[in-house]
Amino acid sequence: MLRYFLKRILIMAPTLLTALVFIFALSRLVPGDLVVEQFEEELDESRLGEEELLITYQRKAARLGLDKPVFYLSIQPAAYPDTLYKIPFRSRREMLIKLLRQNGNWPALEAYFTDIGSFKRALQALPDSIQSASRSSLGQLINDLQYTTDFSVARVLAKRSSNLLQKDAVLQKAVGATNAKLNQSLKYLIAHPQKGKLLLPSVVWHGFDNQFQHTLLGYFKGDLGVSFQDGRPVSGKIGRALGWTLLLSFFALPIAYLIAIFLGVKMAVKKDSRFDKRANTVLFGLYALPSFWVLLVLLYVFSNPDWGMNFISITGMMDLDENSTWNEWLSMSTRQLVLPILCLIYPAMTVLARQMRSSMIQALNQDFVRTARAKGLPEKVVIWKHAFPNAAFPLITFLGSLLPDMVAGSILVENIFNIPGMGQLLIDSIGTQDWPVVFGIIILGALLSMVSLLLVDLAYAWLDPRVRFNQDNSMAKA
Amino acid sequence: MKKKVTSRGYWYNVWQRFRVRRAGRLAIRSLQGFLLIAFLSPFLANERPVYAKVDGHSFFPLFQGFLVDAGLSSWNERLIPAEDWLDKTYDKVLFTFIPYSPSSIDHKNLGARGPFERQRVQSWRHWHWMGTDKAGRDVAAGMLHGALLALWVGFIAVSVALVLGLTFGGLAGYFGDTGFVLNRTTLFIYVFFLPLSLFYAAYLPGNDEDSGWFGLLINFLGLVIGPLVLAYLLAALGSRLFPNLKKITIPLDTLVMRFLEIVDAIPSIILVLALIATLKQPSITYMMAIVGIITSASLARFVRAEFLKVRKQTYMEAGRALGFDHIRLIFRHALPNAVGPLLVLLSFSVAAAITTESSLSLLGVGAADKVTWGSILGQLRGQQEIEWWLAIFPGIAIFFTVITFKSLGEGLSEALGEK
Repeated sequence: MLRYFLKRILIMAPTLLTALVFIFALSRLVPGDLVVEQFEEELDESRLGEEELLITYQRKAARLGLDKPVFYLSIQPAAYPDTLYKIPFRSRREMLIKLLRQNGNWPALEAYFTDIGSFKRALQALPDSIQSASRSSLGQLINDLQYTTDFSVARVLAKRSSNLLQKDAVLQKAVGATNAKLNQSLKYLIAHPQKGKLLLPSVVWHGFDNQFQHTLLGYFKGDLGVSFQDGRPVSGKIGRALGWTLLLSFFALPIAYLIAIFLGVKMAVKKDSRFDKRANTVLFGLYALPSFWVLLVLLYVFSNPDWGMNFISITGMMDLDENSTWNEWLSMSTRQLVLPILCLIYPAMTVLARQMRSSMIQALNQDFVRTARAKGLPEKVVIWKHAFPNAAFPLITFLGSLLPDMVAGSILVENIFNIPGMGQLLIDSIGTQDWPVVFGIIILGALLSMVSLLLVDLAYAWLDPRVRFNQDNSMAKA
Repeated sequence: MKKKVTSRGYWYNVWQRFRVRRAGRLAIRSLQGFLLIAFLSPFLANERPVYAKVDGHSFFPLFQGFLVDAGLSSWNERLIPAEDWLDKTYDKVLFTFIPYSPSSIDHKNLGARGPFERQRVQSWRHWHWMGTDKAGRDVAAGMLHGALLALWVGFIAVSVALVLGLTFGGLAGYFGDTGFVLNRTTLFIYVFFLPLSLFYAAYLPGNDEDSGWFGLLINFLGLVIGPLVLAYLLAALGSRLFPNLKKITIPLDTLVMRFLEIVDAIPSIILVLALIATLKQPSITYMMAIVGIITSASLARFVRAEFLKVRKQTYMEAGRALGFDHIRLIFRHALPNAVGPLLVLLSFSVAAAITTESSLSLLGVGAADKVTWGSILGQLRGQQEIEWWLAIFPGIAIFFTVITFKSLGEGLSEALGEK
């Protein structure tokens, strides 16, 4: 048994690792610039100067751990610089890549952008006494130049800035040299494209100080990162929510099993009777009835003060705060949780009862049942002692998928009944783009389903010696 | 006297068994009704009149509308402004049964008016039979067009799942751990070409950044399949030139099963939610493609099991002994014998896809570009008061659609002699 257990754990480890890698890859596919989204106020472009903006961005990126390369290595065209990830702002990075894709000459492009930067700084550094229309239009021009991804547009803009400077002697004296340099580097960039390098693949090694390693090591230490929303650790946030979700499943699962077993067995014993047919129809109907719709209708009926049936409140568990007494808490939660638990029970129950019925019918047709009946055993003993244990195996298999299913099902239940569990946390986090929480929940879901699969396998091995025997045998052979 | 025996084939028998059973009868009836409503919905509920006479000229805006939407035609200036069809003055006009499209907004009946409440309409012909929703859209029109969308949702999800599931499950089941043997040249060509095609898919100059990862995925598939075919041809050439190279067995089955284990490890709805959240431009089609990708894991498992069963049959052995190639063995021998159970699973998958779409819409995740049954229900989320007409009608529609496809599956599996 112990050997079997260890073997199962060993099989689980690579799967879990690959799942974590997969989840990490997924987490890097999210659209938008995470740093900008999280620190929108701090990164206000109209308030901060260019220099300050870049420094703030880098500081914030470092806080989120996003200033490092994503993976150990990257495969990219030879024309790309190997420090692409260091360029602040995803939008600027993407813009640079767009330009680079048309041209392929990175050193020239870099020189051109350095010149744009120095031109911008030179303009900002001008004494306040020089206030003219041409100064502000020059500032506008340079901003446009910085964000254009079209070389012909860039050329026109650069020419226009030279024209403006020719008319304004004061400005010409102050920033003329930088402007000339900018024009020159743009001209050089356009004249010397290196498109061949774009088609040449190259591998860049970034070293071990990367996001992948840090994140994965963090996962193994149980550190899922910090929530973007409030800066609290993700594991604590999820832990609090998980309590509610597990509470729901803790009640729902055994009840669903109990009902399903008694109903299924009764249907199988009275196969093809009127009871069986009716129960079958009802189960089929329930099975097809979308549970979220049942939820809405139940909530409507039982929260309606017009009908005097306002047993539960729509705001749900949100009414509770930290000051409420234990008593209040208990009465509130029992009142609020009955319907959600009911809604978790019935989809699981319909599936289980149908499964129970068909496997019980199979078991009742077996020879050992006939033998038991022939021995004169009471029908109850035949059914529960002889047939049922053999018919129960499929139900155990179902447990492996039901536990994760319940967690998934609780997403709808919690959102509709306003229970602050994991499902609601997930939807809220997706809404506010709080990715560390979202991916933390995915990891937890993966863990939960793996553990429940493990439990099912162990239960099998414990209940059915054949499994254990075969496993040990095959291991001995190997 | 010799009795004439005619054999009409396996599927004829299945069909005969299917149509006499209760589940089958129910499925046929309701499927007919559902398809009829789905395909007729543009002609039952449309803001554009079927026939309109303006200043002595006759128009057929409903039919012309299809051409206009496709960019093949443009509205006559007598019909402009074409936005508010109901308020225009016509010499003669004939509207459809429900003179609203699912997205047309009735500004006089904003904020969810029930079917029995006071509605501000000009005549009974303009009455909102199922009320309006929060934005003033006609619920009945949304319900009718929702049938077509539900069909689309099921179709997309199932076809994506089918393509992926058949490919991976079929490969794993047909070749198993020992059947897929390559010689070294072929393996080298594949190993060399796959990363290269990935590189060019991601960095080819024509590839637009804005298409997002989903566009990239499609691009990648195209660029992988291309090199794979090329690699296959090269490999064929290589094995002709160097026939005595060492062969290597690839454990395809183990590889595919390990991958499926990972997909299965993450609860599917959570995975779907996260994947949808990473979409740049969510739309129903993309959403359902993602649902299809997730569904394909279970489908692949199923196809693999079926193929493993089929592989051991004597007719496959006979085929191999006769020297048939893999393509013929797969498509002419293995696949037709797995079709029946597959159909059962597919009809269940359609039902599941429709349910998933509704629950996603209800949660308010993903696309809101079309009015679906789920999105009508979804307006009730987090509400103090629930408008019953927004809950009852879509709920019943979803229920009947799901029961239709589930009974189709049940009936099929009974007729095929499963259970």
